Amino acid sequence: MSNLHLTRLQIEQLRQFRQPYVLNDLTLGLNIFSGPNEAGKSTLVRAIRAAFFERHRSTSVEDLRPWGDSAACPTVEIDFNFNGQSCQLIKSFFTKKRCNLRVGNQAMEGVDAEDYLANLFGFAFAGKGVSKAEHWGIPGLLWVEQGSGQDLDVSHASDHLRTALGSQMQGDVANSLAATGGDELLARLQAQRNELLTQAGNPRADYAKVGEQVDQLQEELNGLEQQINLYQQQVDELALLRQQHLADERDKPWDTLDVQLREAQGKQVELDTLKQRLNADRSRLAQLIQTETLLQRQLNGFETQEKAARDREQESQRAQSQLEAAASAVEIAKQQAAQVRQRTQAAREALQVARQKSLRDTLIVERNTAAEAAEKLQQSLENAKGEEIKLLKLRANAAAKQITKREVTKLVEHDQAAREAHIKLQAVATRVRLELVDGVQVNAVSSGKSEKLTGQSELLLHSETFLALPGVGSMRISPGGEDLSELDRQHREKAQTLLNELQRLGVADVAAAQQRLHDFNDLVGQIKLAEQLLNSFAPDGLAELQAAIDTALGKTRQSQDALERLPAPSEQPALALETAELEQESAEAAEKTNSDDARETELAYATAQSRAEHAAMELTTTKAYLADPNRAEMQRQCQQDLAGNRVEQSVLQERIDDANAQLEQANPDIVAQDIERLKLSYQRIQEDHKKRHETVLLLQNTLELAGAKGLEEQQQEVSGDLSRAKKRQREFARRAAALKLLCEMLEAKRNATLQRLQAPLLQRVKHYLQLLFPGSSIELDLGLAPKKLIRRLASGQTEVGNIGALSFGAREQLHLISRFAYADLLAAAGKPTLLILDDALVHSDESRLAQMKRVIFDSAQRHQILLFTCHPNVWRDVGVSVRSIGL
Amino acid sequence: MPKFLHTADWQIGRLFATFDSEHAPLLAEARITAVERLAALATAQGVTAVLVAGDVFDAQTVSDRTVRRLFNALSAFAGPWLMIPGNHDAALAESVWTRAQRLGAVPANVHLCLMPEVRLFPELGFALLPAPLTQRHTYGDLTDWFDTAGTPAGMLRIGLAHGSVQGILAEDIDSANPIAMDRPDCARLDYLALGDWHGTKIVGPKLAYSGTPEPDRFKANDSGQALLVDIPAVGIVPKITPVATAQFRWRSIAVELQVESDADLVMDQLQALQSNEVVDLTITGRISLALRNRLSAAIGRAEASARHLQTDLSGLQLVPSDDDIAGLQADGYLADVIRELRTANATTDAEGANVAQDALALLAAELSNRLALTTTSGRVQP
Repeated sequence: MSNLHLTRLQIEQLRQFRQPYVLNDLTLGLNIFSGPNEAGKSTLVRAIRAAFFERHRSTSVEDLRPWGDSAACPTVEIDFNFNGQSCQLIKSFFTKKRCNLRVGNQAMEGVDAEDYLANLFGFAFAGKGVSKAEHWGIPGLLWVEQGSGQDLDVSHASDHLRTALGSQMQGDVANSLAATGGDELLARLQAQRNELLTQAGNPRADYAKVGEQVDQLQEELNGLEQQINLYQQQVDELALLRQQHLADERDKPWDTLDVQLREAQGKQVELDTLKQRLNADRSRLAQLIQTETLLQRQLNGFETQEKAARDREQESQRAQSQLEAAASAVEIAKQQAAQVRQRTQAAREALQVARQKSLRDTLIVERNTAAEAAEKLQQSLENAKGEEIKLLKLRANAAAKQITKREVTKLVEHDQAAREAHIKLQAVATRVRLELVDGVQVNAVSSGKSEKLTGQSELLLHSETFLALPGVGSMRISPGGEDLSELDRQHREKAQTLLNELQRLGVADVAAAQQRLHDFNDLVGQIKLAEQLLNSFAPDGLAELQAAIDTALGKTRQSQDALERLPAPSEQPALALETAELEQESAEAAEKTNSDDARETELAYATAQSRAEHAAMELTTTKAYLADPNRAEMQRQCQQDLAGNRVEQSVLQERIDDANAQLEQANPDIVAQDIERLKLSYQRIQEDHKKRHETVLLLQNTLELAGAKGLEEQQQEVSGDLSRAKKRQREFARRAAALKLLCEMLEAKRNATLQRLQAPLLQRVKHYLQLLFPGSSIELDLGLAPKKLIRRLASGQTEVGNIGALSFGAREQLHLISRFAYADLLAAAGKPTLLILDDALVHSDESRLAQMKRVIFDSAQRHQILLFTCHPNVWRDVGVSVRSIGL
Repeated sequence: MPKFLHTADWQIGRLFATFDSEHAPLLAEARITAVERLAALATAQGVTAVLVAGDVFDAQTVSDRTVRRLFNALSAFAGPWLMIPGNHDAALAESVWTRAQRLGAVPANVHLCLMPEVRLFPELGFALLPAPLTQRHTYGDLTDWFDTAGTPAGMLRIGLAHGSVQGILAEDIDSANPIAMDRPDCARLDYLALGDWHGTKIVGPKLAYSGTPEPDRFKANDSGQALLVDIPAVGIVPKITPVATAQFRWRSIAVELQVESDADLVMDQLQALQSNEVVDLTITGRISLALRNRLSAAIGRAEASARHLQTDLSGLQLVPSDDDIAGLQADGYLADVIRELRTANATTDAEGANVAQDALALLAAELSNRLALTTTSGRVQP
């Protein structure tokens, strides 16, 4: 139960309360005051706050003065019990500035009283002017002004809360947790860290700069070192080159080359001379070889001539003997030819005889045969003529009786039809039987025909018939019925047809026609027979037959004539023709052969004769040539030349071999290469020398320029700067690492401590929170203000939300809960706790308000609560009576 | 009676660029002024000649200005300056020497001995046998030829060389530019003036390193001197006298703090630093917070008084004492963090320990600041 209990409040000359106004019998726990707007609820609250927060000497509390009353002395009297002691505070402003405080038996006045209260309640005074929120401390937290329940600024009370929280801890634990001025210290260290490091922990500001500096200097130093290295290399190079140059100047290596070159060139000249002589020798030798060939050929010519002479001698003799042989052959051939001619003559004559006899025999046979044939043909002709006459007669008969079987058949049909028509007519015709007395003649005229009827007669009338009955008159009979006339017409028609046909055929009746057909067929048979006979005599006709007869007669005559023209048969017996012909052919062949042989023999003779003459002539010529004395001289000269030639050749060959050997040994190509090589070397070595000298001068110049730069001094400087920068970087790094570690450790420790400190407060918050949001919890910030609400949703999920983002009503509810929790905490720490709620929870809905009433009721079990409202009805269910406020 | 001033290793053109920009130019300048002092000394002592045994220049490619300044600095002594090139300024095909000659910067009384050949100074009574380096490094003894070099009788034979005398230090075996220890005897020298070692070292009765006239490194090596060499006559052992020439004193202070009083000793030394001192301070070991604050203050003061003080405390481990911690008045989570950092100091790897240590120092500094503020403002802590 609270250790503070306001029992009575009296105000006077304060705003609208010009007269004393007293609130008596304030109870422990909840007190509810209601009144309409302007009734003075806020004035009462203001009065309490003024009594505590404002210095009695303050002139900045004009708002307390009743309107227009400059002489007023606003006075507040508060009676209260604290820790069992009865206390009274009386404070008045302006005209009677005073502050009296009685605590039990102890009385205090003025500033002492005010400071005592401030210390006791945990607030401060404004140095100047009206008291503001930052001075209010714990009461600022617990006394909620109208319309500010949704806001909560714990900062001005957090030290008090911390102290209260610290006092909750037991002994050493409390000591170990509380760190005096820890936050300020941490802030300073963090500031130092942030000077060196970014949030991400990378170097910044000077620390970063020195890093860049280090890199830059390092780069610069590397550059310088490279330059120095290059410089030193160039110095070494210069020394080397200079040494080489001097050595060359001294040793003159090109001189050696020059000597070698000259030697090689001399050698080359020598070899060239040798080569020229060799070439001359070679061409001379070639010439000699050519001459040798010519000479040899000439000598060979001489020899050939001699041999030819010998050959011609022999040839001439051979030709002569051949000529003789040919002459005897010619004689023999002539004899043989005479014999053959005789035989041929005989054979020819015999053949003539044989041929004549053969011809005559043939002609006789031909003549006889032709004559017989002519006779036989004559007989046939006569027979044929007889047959032909018969045939002509038969044909004439046949032509007269020509009728065909078809015509006859047709005629029979017509006859039959006519008969049938007639029978039909007769059957229906009107039968008129006349039995005339003799002499009476009746003329019946029917269809233009008149018939004379006498005696007994019967008429069959087919058509209207007029009967002229002499003496009697006439009688017209018209046969009845249509058929009759039709039948009559048909009958007439058929009868006419039959008649026409009979007339056409030229016969009287059908029987005659049939007879004629029989006759005609008989005649046809006879004609065929006669034709066969005629054909057997003259198959090709009579004319042909006559021609054949003429031909045969002609032949007969011809053969006869030929026979008569033939010479008379010879007496000598004739040989058979074939035999005579064979003899003839054989004799002629022999003659021909003989004739050919004779011709050949004569030709051979002529040839042999010509050859013999030619050979004799040639022999003569050759003999004359060989006998020429110039020729012998020439031959001798040739032989002599040839010998000389050969000697010279062998001398030359020796010289050539010698020169070749020399050239091979000296190898002129290599000598030429040597010259080329030595020339190049000479040139190269001179060039190198010159170039080296130029390089030396260039290097010297380069080094002179580089040396003047003081590179190594620069190097020292840069290296010094670098090492200092590196040192500074290391120092920064160390400091940064230390600060980082320190801040991290302090932050971690502080947070851990805070969490442990907050534990009792959280417990109180939770106590109330269960009434409003069961199952939820609140997270506090470092200033102990509620920060987050963690609610369990119906879905089972957890919702975490910033309290600042909640609705006005919900924020007010949560902040009231926090205040109750603070009050619990402070009360436990022995601090006086009074809660004043001016017009609170007006934005809460009904159900929340109901819950909050339970919260307030619960809190009122431990603290005195003064609740001011303009809605008295709302608060009728919190177990206390609602007191009206008003003048 | 011939008398020589023997010097070497001027290293003109060294810039000390790693030093801060305030001190570096002064130290570079000091090398030139040291030469000026040598010239003055030579004149004052009336020496016959100055022997400069190589490494006159620090590098081949120093600026023309530096070259001219060096030769100008010689003007106070009108007698002969006999110089040979060393390994830093070897007489290469192109070198600082050829450049100096091209610039016309070399005064007539300066004899650049760029070739190994005898130089006769008959009117001065001596012959010079120089062994110039003509390559950056040689592995043969360039003084060999001294043995066979003839000089007129009655003239002193003075050798001038740059390199390492063999047989003195183990690490010089096989080193570049070797010089035989017995060269003066073999070559019948009256004196062999050597360069290369920056500290003065009299190796034998006729064989000595003059060292550099102005120190250029922290290594304690007795540098900053030149040698006056009196040679009464041919064959007489010379009298060698070191003369201080340095403007600045270079030294290195290295201390490992084991007990608290070690820090006091260091602070005493720092207190005593003079304005001509160039100091390299390295402190290792462990130190409490309070002591470290005092030490830092002492270093700050010493930086102001010495010419140059470079400090390396990277090996110094901050180990706050319980008193330190109590003094910081840290409570709550601050106290937790301090405790954890102290633990981390001991448990994590070197890198982590360093960071933790720095963090602890930062936190301590902040807490100390806060204490100072609250103390001055007189506010009472709850």
